[in-house]
Amino acid sequence: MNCKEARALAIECSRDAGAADLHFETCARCARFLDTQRAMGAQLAAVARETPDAPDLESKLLAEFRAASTGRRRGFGRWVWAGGALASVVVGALVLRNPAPARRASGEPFIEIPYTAPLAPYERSRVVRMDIPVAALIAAGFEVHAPDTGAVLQADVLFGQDGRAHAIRLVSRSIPISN
Amino acid sequence: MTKQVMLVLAASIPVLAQMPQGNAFQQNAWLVVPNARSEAANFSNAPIDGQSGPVTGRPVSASEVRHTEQRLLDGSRIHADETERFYRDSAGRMRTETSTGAVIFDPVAGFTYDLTTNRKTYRRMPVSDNSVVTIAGATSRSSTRSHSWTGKEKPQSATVTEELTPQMVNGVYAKGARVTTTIPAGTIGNDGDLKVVNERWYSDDLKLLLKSSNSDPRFGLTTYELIDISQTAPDPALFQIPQEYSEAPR
Repeated sequence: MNCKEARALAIECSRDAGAADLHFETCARCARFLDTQRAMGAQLAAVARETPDAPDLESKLLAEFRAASTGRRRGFGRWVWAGGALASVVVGALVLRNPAPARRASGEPFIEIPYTAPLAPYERSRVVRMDIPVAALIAAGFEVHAPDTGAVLQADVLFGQDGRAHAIRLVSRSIPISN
Repeated sequence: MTKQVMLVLAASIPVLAQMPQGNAFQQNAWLVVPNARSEAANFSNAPIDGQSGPVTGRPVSASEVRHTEQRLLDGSRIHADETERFYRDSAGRMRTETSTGAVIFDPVAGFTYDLTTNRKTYRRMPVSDNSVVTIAGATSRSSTRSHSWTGKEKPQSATVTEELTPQMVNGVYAKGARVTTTIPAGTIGNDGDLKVVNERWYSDDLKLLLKSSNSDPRFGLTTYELIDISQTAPDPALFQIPQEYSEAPR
């Protein structure tokens, strides 16, 4: 198993210790990545326990956005344009050609994309795990005050039968740098 | 600066507006809307939003045609088309199929299979309570709702649901509804009202969405239609892993 395959598995391993692979014992970078995933899983579980209603959950998750984006404020003006645009293209291409596997969804509720029409009666839905730029979330109407709109978050996205995205659920707050 | 940010946002919109690829590994999701009735509940006997579990005793085969179209700031357009085959048997198993692969959802065996045609491999994932998802935002859904989680006062959006006169859609009797949501100016930084219009046609008999269109200034136009609908039972082999396929290594 190489690093790429291992990281795809890390999400699942973060929730299931028994699924851990030998690779994580021999690769320090992937071991750190796995630790991050496990920490995030624990934090999300804590958020779920602490937030019985939707508005509170949303505010906490959005706070996670902000916290995750601090420390990358320098050079915002120039890089936000280039980074955001590049992230959009790269992530769009990833979504089209090589979506990350939605191996296991967690139990947290999805957050509805603001002002989307609800699913139609009997409409099938599916969950796909993918990387989403912060900029796309802002454009969709989420209140995200992250200074780095080029940052990318991993999320489960709920798609309707017609292909529209209806809701998201954050998976990780680790933010890969796209540019 | 503001202009730059807006351009970045515009460039990012396709990511959320994008259709998922047909053979992306994915789970079927059964919708649970806690403590809420559907938008469509404004008219009588309206079923709840989304599919809430396997549909049994209603086999169907059809083609699904999706189209998205967006106009960008520079005047150019991005459009995408996708066609999938869709099958459902009497036990509620479902299969969606593209030229590159297929996804089989088998609630009887308790697995979802993701088949990749060119490699003749599949991945298997157990169907469990992970399939049941809830949408937090839906708990506050009503005919009028506000974007309230920031704690700041914002203009309230208005959603109006109109029942449409039933009609035949590709040979199937269909009920219809039009859901119009107005996002008032200033709600999400917009300098004018935005109207999101969604029209859907569905069959109570087949328990299936047959046709829809969605016009959203943020994401563009999305259309969906189920064509070549057959209500005869599909070939049972479609819901099994072909013998020449092997499980992909993890």
